[in-house]
Amino acid sequence: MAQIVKMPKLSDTMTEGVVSKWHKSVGDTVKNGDLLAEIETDKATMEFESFQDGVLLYRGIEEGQATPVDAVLAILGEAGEDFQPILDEYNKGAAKPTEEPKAETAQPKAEPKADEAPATAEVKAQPAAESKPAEVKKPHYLKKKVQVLMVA
Amino acid sequence: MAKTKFSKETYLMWYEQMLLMRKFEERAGQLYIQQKIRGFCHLYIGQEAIAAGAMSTIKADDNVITAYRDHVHPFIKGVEPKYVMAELFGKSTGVSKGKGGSMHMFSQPHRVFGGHGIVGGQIPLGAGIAFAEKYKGTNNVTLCYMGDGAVRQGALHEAFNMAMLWKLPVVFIIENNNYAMGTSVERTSNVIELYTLGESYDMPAAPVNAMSVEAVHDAMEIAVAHCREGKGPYLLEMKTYRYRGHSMSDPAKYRTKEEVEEYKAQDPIQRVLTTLLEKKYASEAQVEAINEKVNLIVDECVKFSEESPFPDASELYKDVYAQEDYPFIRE
Ligand SMILES: Cc1ncc(C[n+]2csc(CCOP(=O)(O)OP(=O)(O)O)c2C)c(N)n1
Ligand SMILES: [Mg+2]
Repeated sequence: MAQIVKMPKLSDTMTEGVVSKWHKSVGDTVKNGDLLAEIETDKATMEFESFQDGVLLYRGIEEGQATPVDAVLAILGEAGEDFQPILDEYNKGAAKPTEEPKAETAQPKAEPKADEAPATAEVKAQPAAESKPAEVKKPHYLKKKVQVLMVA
Repeated sequence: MAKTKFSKETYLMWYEQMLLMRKFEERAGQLYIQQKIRGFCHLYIGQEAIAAGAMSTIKADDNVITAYRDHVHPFIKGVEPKYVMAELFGKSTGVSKGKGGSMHMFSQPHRVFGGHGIVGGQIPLGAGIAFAEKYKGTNNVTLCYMGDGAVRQGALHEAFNMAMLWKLPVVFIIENNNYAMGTSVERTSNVIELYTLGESYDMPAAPVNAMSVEAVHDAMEIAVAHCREGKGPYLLEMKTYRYRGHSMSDPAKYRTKEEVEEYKAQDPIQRVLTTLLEKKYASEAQVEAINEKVNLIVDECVKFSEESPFPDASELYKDVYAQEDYPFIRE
């Protein structure tokens, strides 16, 4: 029986994830505990181990693409099984994650609120190559993408 | 290696209990990423021998207090796992009535005093509980657990000093998993053999290989007896390892995969399983039956939690102050 593997919520503040690397290909057998994919959250790149068993029938997104939490990440089932009905069924349901993810959704997009910028705020490190000239309109501490440090 | 001879029953108990802790925590991790469990979630996977080795040394009236990595400590005192799972779900049937969550497991009847999110906050509290027992003239022992990070808190020194001075019946148990979030023990002090901290206060102390449940049991037995006889506190440094990240959102990039594998190779559950099979204490089929039983218990925990209601909003005003009509509480 085919089953949906949903995009997991790997941090308390994660709203969507980017698959930075798939560790299984369609047709591979996946066992509980196997590394399925590396997923980039708003905080870090996490290894996602499957807690379901089955043959990988379908991968919902390509490497480098983003999709919301709970959207279809993959489908596991028996080799050769027709997964289309369960995929259609799921996408018809509450979560409608079928839109092509836009390039910028790969980045955390939450604008920092004023009260989220105390001394404990952590500045998300930006790769040096990507750094652009700083905007000058906003106060200094709002220029970068600021996130409240997870302390526990 | 452990000196004591242990019975077949003890090994079977250890295997089942540790496996239950492991499977419970694995399931908690899965439920977290499915958003059934929210907020924070710190798993005990890898450290099970510390809790299991204590079970065989204490009595029902003894006290337990620990930090936020606290899902399995209630098991030591006989709390049924389903009430811990329901707490993780935030349900009213949870040990803390769904108002505590992952980091705040409390059970008055079982004498489990939490679950504390303030690193090291439980150290003086543990000494205080032991003080109350001594004051009341009981011979109950308090087990006060802390991480290697908590050891670096200043409050530890005051608590150790007073506990020794007043000969309080408390076993301070360091769960040294080598990391405080991403900071290794070596990076926090020149003193990296944590049990030696007892020396400053003349507190008897010992390091323990906590990947071995036998070693944990032996050390705990000595320490608990010492306290019970009124000789004062004892410090044990349990050398352990957590296989998962600090919390669910920690990718644990500060350590190598090889390091993790090195510890997994000494897995406490696997070691007990090997003993069970080598000594023919259990057949493969009996082991399989235990595995099956544990999976059923965990399934039952989840079912119970799913079916339980969330607490009523009025619960917010309850259990805040001991005095019922405390003036700050107005509905
Ligand atoms: C007083 C205080 N400072 C900092 C923190 C943030 N914090 C949460 S857990 C943690 C690491 C503690 O590590 P350790 O005591 O080794 O316990 P472990 O997580 O390894 O079980 C820190 C620094 C906190 N919760 N409380
Ligand atoms: Mg630690």
